Parts: sequence; C-alpha cells; structure tokens
Amino acid sequence: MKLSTRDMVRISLFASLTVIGGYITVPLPLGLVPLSLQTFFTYLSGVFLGPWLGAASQLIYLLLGCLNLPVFAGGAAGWAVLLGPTGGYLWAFVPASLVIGLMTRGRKQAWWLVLSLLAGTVIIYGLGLLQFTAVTGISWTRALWVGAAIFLPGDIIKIITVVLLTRKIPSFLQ
Amino acid sequence: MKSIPNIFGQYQEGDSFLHRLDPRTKIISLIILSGVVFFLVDITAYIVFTLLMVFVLKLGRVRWRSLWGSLRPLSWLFLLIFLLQLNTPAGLRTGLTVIYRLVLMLTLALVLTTTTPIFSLTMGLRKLLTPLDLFEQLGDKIAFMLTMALRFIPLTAEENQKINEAQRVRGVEPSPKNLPLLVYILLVNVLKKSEELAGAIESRGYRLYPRRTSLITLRFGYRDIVALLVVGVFSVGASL
Repeated sequence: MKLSTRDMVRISLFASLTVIGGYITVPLPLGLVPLSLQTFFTYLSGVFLGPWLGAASQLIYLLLGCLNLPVFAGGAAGWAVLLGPTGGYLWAFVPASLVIGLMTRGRKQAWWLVLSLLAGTVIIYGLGLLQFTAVTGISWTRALWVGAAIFLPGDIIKIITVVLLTRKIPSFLQ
Repeated sequence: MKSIPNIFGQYQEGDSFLHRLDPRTKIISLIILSGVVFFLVDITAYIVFTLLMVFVLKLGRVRWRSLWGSLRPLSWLFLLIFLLQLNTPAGLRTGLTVIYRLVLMLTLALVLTTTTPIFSLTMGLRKLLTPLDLFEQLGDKIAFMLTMALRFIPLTAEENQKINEAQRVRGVEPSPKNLPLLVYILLVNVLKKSEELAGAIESRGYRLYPRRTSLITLRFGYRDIVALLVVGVFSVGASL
C-alpha cells in the first residue's frame, strides 16, 4: 500500500475528528434526540478523503476503540461496545465511508452528494440494526424506532451540512 | 461539550499474574472469551463463566469499584433493552440474559484495561498486526497512524472548544442553523494544522525504517502458554 506522509496525517486527523464528533452534541428543538457529530465526520471522510483513505480513517477509529480508549460516544470504549448491541453502527462506519467515497469521487453535484450520503446512512443503520436485533433479540419493527427513526432528523441536518461544506473548503486544502 | 475522560486513567499499577502476561495473550483471550459469551447455553454454563470471571478479577486484583464504574455508563442501555423485551413472551428471561452477557463482556474488557498499560497494549496490537508488514510495512504505518490519531484527539478537542467560545462571544450558539459555520472553521483549522504537520514530518526526514527497535519488548513466556491453554479448554468446555 502506497501511503504518503500527508495521507497518513489526514487519515489520523479524520479518525480523531470522528472521536471528537462523538463528544459534540447539538441540541435540537421539539424535544428531538440531540444530534451527535460522530457520523458527520464519517460522511465527510468519504467525501473529502475519497473511498480508500476515508475507510482507512474509520478503521483507525475502530482500532483506537480496540485499544480500549474511550473513543466511542459517551466515553464508552473497547471490545464490549464493538461486540455489544450498538457495535454494528460503528463497524458500519468503514463501509459507509467507502461507499460514500466511491460514489462521490469526481462527482460532487449537490443532489448526487445527498444521494450518496443517504446511501451511507442506510448502510450505517442497516448494519447497526442488524447487530442490534441479533444481540438483543428485539424485533426489527421495534428496533427500527429506537435504533433509527429517532435519529433521522439529526441525520438530515448532518447531510445538509456536509453538502454545504463540501463546496466551501478551499482547494489548497483538498 | 462533555469533557473527554482521561484515556490513561483506567490502568491500575500492579504486579499480579495478569499484569505480567503478554498483552497479546490478553487480547487474544479477550476476543475468544467475548465470543464464548454468546455460546453459553444453560444456567450452569453462566455460573461457571461467572466463577471464572470472579477468579480472573481476583487474579488481576481488579477493584469492584472500577467494575461498577465501567458498567454504570451503560445502565441506560441496559434499561432500554430490558424494557423493550418486557412485553414479549419469555421477554423477562431474554432481557436478563442479554444484559448479563453484556456485563460479562464489559468485565472482560475491564480486566484487559486495568492490567495492561496503554503502551504495552499498543505494542501488543502492533505485534498482532505483524502479518500486514508484508504489504509495504502496513503494520508500521497503522501503528504510526494510531499514535498520531492519539495525539490529534486532544488537539482537535482544544480547537473545537476555542472556536465554540469565540463564536459564543459573538452570539453564535451551537444550533443546527449555525452548524455549517462552526464545523467549517474547525475543519479548515485542523486541516491547516495537519498540512503543517505533514510538512514538518517530511522535512525532518522521518521514515518508517524497517525493523525499528523499541523501548519495551514483549516476552511470551510459560505464563502465557498456561493462560491460553486455560482459555482454550474453558472455551471448548463452555460452548459444548
């Protein structure tokens, strides 16, 4: 694998941004579940670093968790989280970033970005719910509510934000 | 923003049997035993596993208080799972089983973190990644990126805090509407920093030389063989 120093620094940067994102929460009106920025940086890693480096950054993020560092949302850490009910959402970051990267490579019209990010969201919730139902034995219909629907408003805001941002980052930093 | 917990805080200084085990042994055992948790069939298997866990906790001189501390943050999740199970037939039982499995897994992870300092954990993981070195030193590269990401976390957190404070002074509160602005500044700032860092690394001629030596060397001794044997025999026994 050819990785330049710059690539490696950027991979680490997005891994750490994903960590920080889990700690940043923005309150939403109407008593909706506050949105966390964690998946936000997963989306951004795909759009911004491309499929391979983006997926690598999410992989490094997971490895940090494997070192039992409290990098997962709410200061949770380690193998227990990855294997537990909410672990699927985290594993899904890697394929999500990969797919978003593949779809948006060289094609960044706003509507297409929205579509690719939606695909990424579907991957995260799909794999997340898969593990959630498998580990807890809760039925799919019910899991869909507690494991996906309540987060959707936040995700829509995140997707809009990513689309707005992608056009603004100065080219010398891309 | 909630404060980031001290990432080195979980380790407890000590000299127990578990402290002296090779981190690789501990990581592998953790993976195997976490898997076994899912194959425990009847109540006897659970009791045996629990006894083993109590033994391991004693062996590593892990304090009960730290066990409670690592379980508490997940109590809301336990409650949620429990409540969701309640109105299905046999829900009480499934709910309790699921929660107890989680408790066992968390306990296993806790044993690893309290008995292994972060540098030997990193070293252990690095050694387990050795096969990847066949692909142009990928193992070294991953270790390098992990260390760098570790250093980036406090930097990024600090940057984020600064921006938030500066924007709050201007009357910009964190809300969905202001999100693009806040993240934009964060992103541009940290990207600039990372460009500088990449330049600094290259201009100093840092390279990933093959076969770098390190301060700590891992030793795989008779203890590790004993431990792995026990884990192996136990796993086979428990899942049959």
